[in-house]
Amino acid sequence: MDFSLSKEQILFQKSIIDFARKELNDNLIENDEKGSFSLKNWKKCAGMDILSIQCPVKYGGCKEDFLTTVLGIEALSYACKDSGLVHAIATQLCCIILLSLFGNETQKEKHLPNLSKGEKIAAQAITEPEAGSDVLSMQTAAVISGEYYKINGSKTFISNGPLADVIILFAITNPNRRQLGGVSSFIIQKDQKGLRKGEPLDKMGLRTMHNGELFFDDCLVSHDDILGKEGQGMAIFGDVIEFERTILAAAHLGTMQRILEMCIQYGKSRRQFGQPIEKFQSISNKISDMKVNLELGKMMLYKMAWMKDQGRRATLETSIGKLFISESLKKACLEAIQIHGGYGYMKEYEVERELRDGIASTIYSGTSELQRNIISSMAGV
Amino acid sequence: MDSKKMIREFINSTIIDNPNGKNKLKDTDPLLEAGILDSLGMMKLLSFLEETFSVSLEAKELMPENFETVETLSSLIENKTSKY
Repeated sequence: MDFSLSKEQILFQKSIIDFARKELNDNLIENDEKGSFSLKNWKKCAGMDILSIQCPVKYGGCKEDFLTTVLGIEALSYACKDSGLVHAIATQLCCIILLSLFGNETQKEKHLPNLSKGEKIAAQAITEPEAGSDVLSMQTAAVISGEYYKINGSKTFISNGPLADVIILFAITNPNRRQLGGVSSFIIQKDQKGLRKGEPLDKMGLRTMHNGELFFDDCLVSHDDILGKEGQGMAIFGDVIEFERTILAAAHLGTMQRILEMCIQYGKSRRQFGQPIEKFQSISNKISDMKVNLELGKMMLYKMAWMKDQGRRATLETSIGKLFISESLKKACLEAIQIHGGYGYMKEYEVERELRDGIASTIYSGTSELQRNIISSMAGV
Repeated sequence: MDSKKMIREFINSTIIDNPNGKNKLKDTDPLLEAGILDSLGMMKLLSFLEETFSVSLEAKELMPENFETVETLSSLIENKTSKY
């Protein structure tokens, strides 16, 4: 077992860190307050080929193995303090993976070049008002109507939804076979008749990533826009969610590394009772716990990525990793505020934003409660 | 290797809550229609099939016709293993 990264992977991470530190950390507090998505920084990331990292060369990408991709996202999230932008990029990568794995030639040629260059923005539409963790209770339905599928229903909390040019929608095509064969996925374009996008939802954190509702009212979609085959939706979802949980966990670990370093630095510079606060065990123990969680998280993350590179199913591993890393991030953010004391509570110090951004990690892509259900079930309960 | 027996025993012991061994699953019993395979059961079954028979199941194979019964599941596995 070799735990070392290649020279290329180390250089790749360094180049992303240098780029992100220099280019992506402008107007952070203002953009967070206004909920502004930075299209300018999105395009800069595209210029660095960050969006094309999972796109096959044939379609204009620079397809790397999945472990290298994960290392890139970890580096990006470490150096870029705009967690909303990182989340938007993670969403785009998941859509590119989805299209690369399940799209036909025509669909790949049509969508992948634009998405990997960042010229178009993509979203996955799964969650509904009454179908969160219970995905299979979704109500959005696609019914065959001549040469088209007629889609009716609504989706909510869709990352990149308000900005999306391309939406990968999951809808019921056979209500009697929800478990297998009853859900299908469709590629919907923003100007499709019958699609209406809601305004960005006002949320606690990740405010620079636009997230919103999508409404489908007799939205007609051609049979050519079905992704994979009719009825393959849940199989596609089951595959892509493992990539998604890994990419998001990589982002969380990058953030954790940044928070850890920030806390170490503050512990050295902040003096109380005549000495740096790092000298107090109640502070250094918090930092130890952050470091332990970071290192354990990395081991699990790299295993998850390695398994996907091997073409292996990683249901259990991605649930364990997602649960552990997202909960560790939330804990690290809370401890960071405690270490920074009153300053940590102030917007100026940018610690409170990390907490607001980090909390959602235990909710999206399957809540911690859902991950525990999967883990216990896979363990034999 | 009797894949049918192994799959049946796995479902009986791990997916169906059947501690006393009563109402044992038959090879032709409907797995999907009877609700035996829910989403968590499906995850467990897929991991079991891939690890036990050293196969990789693709999305195009995860269709109802392959998961109707123990018999159809066994056919899917035997088709895949015979290719290697």
